[in-house]
Amino acid sequence: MSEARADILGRVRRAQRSKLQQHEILEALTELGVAPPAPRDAEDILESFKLRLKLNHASLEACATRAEAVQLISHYVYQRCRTRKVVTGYDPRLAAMPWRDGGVLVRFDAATAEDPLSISYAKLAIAESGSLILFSNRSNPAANNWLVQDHIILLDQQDLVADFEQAWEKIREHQIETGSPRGISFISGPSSTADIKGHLVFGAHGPQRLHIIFIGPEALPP
Amino acid sequence: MKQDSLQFLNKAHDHMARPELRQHMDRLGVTLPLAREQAIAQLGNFEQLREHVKNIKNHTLENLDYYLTRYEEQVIQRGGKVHWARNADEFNGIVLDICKKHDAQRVGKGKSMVTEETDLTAHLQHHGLEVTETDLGEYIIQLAEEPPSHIVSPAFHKSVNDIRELFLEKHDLGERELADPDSLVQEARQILRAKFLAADVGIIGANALIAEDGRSMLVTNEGNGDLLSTLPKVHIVCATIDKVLPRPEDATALLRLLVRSATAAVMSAYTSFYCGPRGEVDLDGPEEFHVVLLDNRRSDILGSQYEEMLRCMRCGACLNHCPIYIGAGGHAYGWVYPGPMGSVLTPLLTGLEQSHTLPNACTACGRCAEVCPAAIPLPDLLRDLRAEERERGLSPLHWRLGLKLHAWLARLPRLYQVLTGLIVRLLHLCGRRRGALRSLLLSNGWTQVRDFPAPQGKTFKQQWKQRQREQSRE
Ligand code: SF4
Repeated sequence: MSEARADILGRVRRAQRSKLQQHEILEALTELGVAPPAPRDAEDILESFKLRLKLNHASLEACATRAEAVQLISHYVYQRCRTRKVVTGYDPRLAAMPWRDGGVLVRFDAATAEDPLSISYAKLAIAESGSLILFSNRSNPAANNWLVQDHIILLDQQDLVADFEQAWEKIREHQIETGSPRGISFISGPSSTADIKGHLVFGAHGPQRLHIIFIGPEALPP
Repeated sequence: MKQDSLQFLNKAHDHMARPELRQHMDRLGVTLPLAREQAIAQLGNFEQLREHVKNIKNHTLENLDYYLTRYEEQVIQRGGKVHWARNADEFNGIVLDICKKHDAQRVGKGKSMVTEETDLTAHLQHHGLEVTETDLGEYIIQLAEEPPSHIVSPAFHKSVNDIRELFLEKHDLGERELADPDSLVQEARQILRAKFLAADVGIIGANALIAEDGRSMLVTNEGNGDLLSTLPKVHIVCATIDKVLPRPEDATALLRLLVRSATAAVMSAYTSFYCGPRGEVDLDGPEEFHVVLLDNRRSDILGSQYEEMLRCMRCGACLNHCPIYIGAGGHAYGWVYPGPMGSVLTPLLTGLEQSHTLPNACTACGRCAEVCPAAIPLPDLLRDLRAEERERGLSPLHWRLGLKLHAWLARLPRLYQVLTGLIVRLLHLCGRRRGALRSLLLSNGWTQVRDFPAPQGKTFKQQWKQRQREQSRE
């Protein structure tokens, strides 16, 4: 269909007003800058993030270390699913956690439809929208985000940023360090739908519950 | 989709004659706008952000060939393929070929207005494929064999009971209650989960294409698009050429406006940016990644007086604020896009001959332009289309004659004043007792459902003159 391509691009070229060179286009774009800063629900980004999570119908627990996080997860998993088994990707941070201390049996793999619960470790999080950013790759297969009923996402305090613009800057840095993933997802709540006459129902296709475990020295009980 | 936009008036009439839809209309026209207003107020800098996004979008359209080729380069670099389609036939052909190449039997589809435009589902089904819509709203109307009535909530016109009856009839699951939305959603989840797992090809739309990194932005609350981007072995993204934006920051700036304008939320549950097939060490993801780009007359709109329409982000706010859309219902518009945005787009994409009724479906109240996050002057574009309609002699003869008569009279101010003065006096006398008129010559449609308030006896000009005189006397 290269004929269609040439035809469409030819028509576009004839129709468009500007005949700028590449460097002029990029200069013009730089001049336009990025969007004005978004509002935050609170001055403090952590406060703002917590508030947003709540409005997004996600639940939150906080602790100071990864070892404590294992205990929280162990409890949550057993309470919710009466199981000790969870699935996670090959994230080195997850691989290094003391799962046995919490009696959690971890399988490092992509989730299947039989897995009730998965654990991911966020690359970043955004206070503006209460979003957790996950890369879809070996560290976190995309299926783990959407095939399960319960999704737990861990987040380190240092990875929380204020807004989308800061997030993209960091995402670029991550991509230089660890390569570009197939997918980048901003997860901001459990799967939901309002397609039946506007009634909000959770667990439309993906997780019914989204649980965040926040790890950081400033972690306060939510 | 078969078009019958010329039936607009008849269909709108039928829709308004159904009093059971009152509540539904209130939700559309009152609840949603109020919620949106709050979300926009919370944003604090709506005007500033809207201006920024408008400038970015204009810049992209002005240099569209550069950004499209840059986007294509990036997709190819990440192991994906970009296909170009001039029209619906080419578009459907490309998608079918990809499916055939993989011996696909089952296709899972996410929400995509582009594929509605080309009627892709019917085309694939015609060639023996099983196609399942996976967005819950789209799934419901697919079961009901109806077109969407709203661009964001396609099954908005269906009541809980309509959906319950539909599921009981179409899902062979024995006796069950299904009394509330929760159980309906659970049932759909169960049925559709099997479809996701069995699909050979996943087809989704895109809210934006990003030139810098070749990714496409996908915004959903359900997560169906993400499952389709992950589980099937072939992943196809369907988009039009006007969807491209320079940087990821531009896509998320647009997102701030889009989500608030569409659903009054701050953020959708899932916003994903995909490009390319699975990598060598990945544990999941498709083996092949395709993008199909449709033109379908958009290159004609580019550079024309209607170019601003290409900024539309399909948020649906103009629909929820349009008194005509709310009264007439989405199906009256007779094609894929309803409401103010549809009344502009449909004539541009399908020709005025097929749809010249639509630009007339406007009271010029201006609410759509006020709320449009893309700052599109919808009423102006509708007016230009009406002017074109008249120039090309498409409007009914009696309308054109009426307008001619009015134009002639308006150029004779004296006569105009005398005549309007007489008519106003006459109406005043007729309606003196009740202050309103029950019927009116040539305006039956109006007085059938409400009274016409009787004028006070003088025209505006007469009253104005009188006031001036009184004031100078004082
Ligand atoms: S015309 Fe504006 S308000 Fe209407 S759908 Fe498009 S962006 Fe939204």
